[in-house]
Order: sequence, then structure tokens, then C-alpha cells
Amino acid sequence: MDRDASIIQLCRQGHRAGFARLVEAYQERVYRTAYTFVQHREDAQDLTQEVFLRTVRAIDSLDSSRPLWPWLRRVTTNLALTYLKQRKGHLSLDELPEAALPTSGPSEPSWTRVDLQRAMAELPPLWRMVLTLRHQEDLTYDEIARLLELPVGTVKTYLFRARRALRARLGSEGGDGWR
Amino acid sequence: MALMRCDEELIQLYVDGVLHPAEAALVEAHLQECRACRRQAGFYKSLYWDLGRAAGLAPEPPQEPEALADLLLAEHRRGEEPEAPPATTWDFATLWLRANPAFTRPARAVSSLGHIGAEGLRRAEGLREGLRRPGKWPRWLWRKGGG
Ligand SMILES: [Zn+2]
Repeated sequence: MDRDASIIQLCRQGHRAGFARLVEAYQERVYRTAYTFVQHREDAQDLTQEVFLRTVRAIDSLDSSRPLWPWLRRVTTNLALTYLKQRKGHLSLDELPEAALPTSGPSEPSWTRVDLQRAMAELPPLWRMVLTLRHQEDLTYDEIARLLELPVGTVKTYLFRARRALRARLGSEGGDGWR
Repeated sequence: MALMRCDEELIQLYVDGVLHPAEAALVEAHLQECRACRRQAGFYKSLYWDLGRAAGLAPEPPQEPEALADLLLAEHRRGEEPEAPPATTWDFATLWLRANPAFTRPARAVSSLGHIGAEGLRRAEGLREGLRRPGKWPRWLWRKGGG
């Protein structure tokens, strides 16, 4: 029996060890994913807690022969979307605010990971989610479209714009170095 | 012999490895003769590589694992009580996930809900103000409802 199956079994039987293992195995991954999506520590924690609560409520209906992460990623993504729609106020989920555009061309030949994190944080949330699901989660374009309930063409457009925006922010025509 | 014009989106897709082999061959031929696109391709290769590791930049989860495990155990016990609480009744998002055969075992009672999908999520949002137990929800879910 693999790890996820035994976690599900233990949780169903109400053993504390099951919940402890569930948290041990996935808390960090869920939190980091939520944080990447919403860029806010406290709200990422609330989201994380809600993801696990929903998992516990659904534990009897989960298929113990399947890995848990796709389920957790889906709940995390759905909750993050709901959250972002609530929070957005006047900010668009899929347009780049003017202020985020670089005023002049980049001068450094390469970027640090902190630069990348900062540039990611400035992207419209939906662009950032699509980018993360592609390059961190290795989902196909079709899988991303299904997960976010968007047309595949929209996913491609967001990916193109997000990557181009990062190139405008981080890229340098002068160098090919990266670290 | 220019088989292809400079096309940033094609370069992105090429580096992402999602082009049809015939298209990829066209891009490769173009890259042979176009320095600007070669630079772009190099940039995107680096970018994708770094994006794959960007999760490491997110902070550590602030909540104690033990506290979260205790909370989950309590939630499980609460669900086992004969008098089931109403919160999950409103929880369309989870119901939809439970009804989705990609995640759940077949033949559950909730399967009659079918693919509620986005509509279900919207309805769940609309019902937010009717939640009877706002304390169980994250702040942002009931903040605007005055909970
Ligand atoms: Zn070119």
C-alpha cells in the first residue's frame, strides 16, 4: 500500500496518525502553491487550512488508489480562484497594470531568483496561475484549461503574455547568462 | 531562405516542447539564421528552468503541523457525529470535486449533482452570506458578508 492510500485509510478510520501524516506530506506543498497563487502569507494560510478541511470532509469519497496531490492541487486552485475574484476589487485578474511595465529596458544580463519572484508577483493572477501550473506542476495546456475552466486558446494567450512580460522585465538582449 | 518570420510565441512554444515536429523543424531552421530569436530562445530556456524551481521561494507555512493535524482530527470527529452540521450542504465546490470521477470513487450519492463545475462554484459563492458557521471559513470568505 503506498503512502497516500495508507493516509486515506488511516484518516477514514479516524486515527490521528493519518491526519498527522497528511499534514506532514502535503502542508508545505499546498501552502507554497497557495502562496504562489495569491501572494499573501495570511490568506495563503487560510486557504491551506480550508484545503485540508475540505479534504477531510471528502475523505470517504476519495479514491485511495489515486495519488492525493492532484486532488489537493485542484482544491487549492479552485479556492485560490474564488479568493482572487473576491479580492480583486478594481484590479483585473488577467491584465497587466500599467505600473508593472518596465519604464526602460533591462540592463542586467541575468536575473536573480528574487528578481524572478518579484516579477512573478507583479503578473495578473490568472497569468501567474497558468505559468505556475505549466512550469511548476508540468500540466499540459489542456489540463490547465480544464482545471481553470478556461478555453485552451485563453490558456495559450495568458502563457504567451506572461512569458513575454517576464522577458520584458528580466530579459536582456545583451547576455545569455542565467543563474 | 527565410522559411519563417520572427515569431516570439512560436519560440516560446518551441522551447516549451509543445510544437509539432514539422513546426519545430521550421523554428530550428529559423534559429540557425536569426541571432535575435536565438537569444530569445536562450532566455526562455533559462526562464522555464528557473520557473520550475520558483516554489522554493515561497515562504514556509506558518502554521504548526501539529495544530493543523489536531484541527483535522476534530473536523473528522465532528463529521462522524450523528447530527451532521449544515456547512457541507452549502459546499458546492467540494461537492463538485466529489462528483468528479477523476478524483473520486464512482457511485457516490453526490454523483447525481453531475458536473456542476463553474456554475456550482458561483452558486457556492452566492450562498456565502447564508453560511451558518462562518467561523469555519477563511476570513476572506465571510469578510464581506459581515460575519
Ligand atoms: Zn528571428
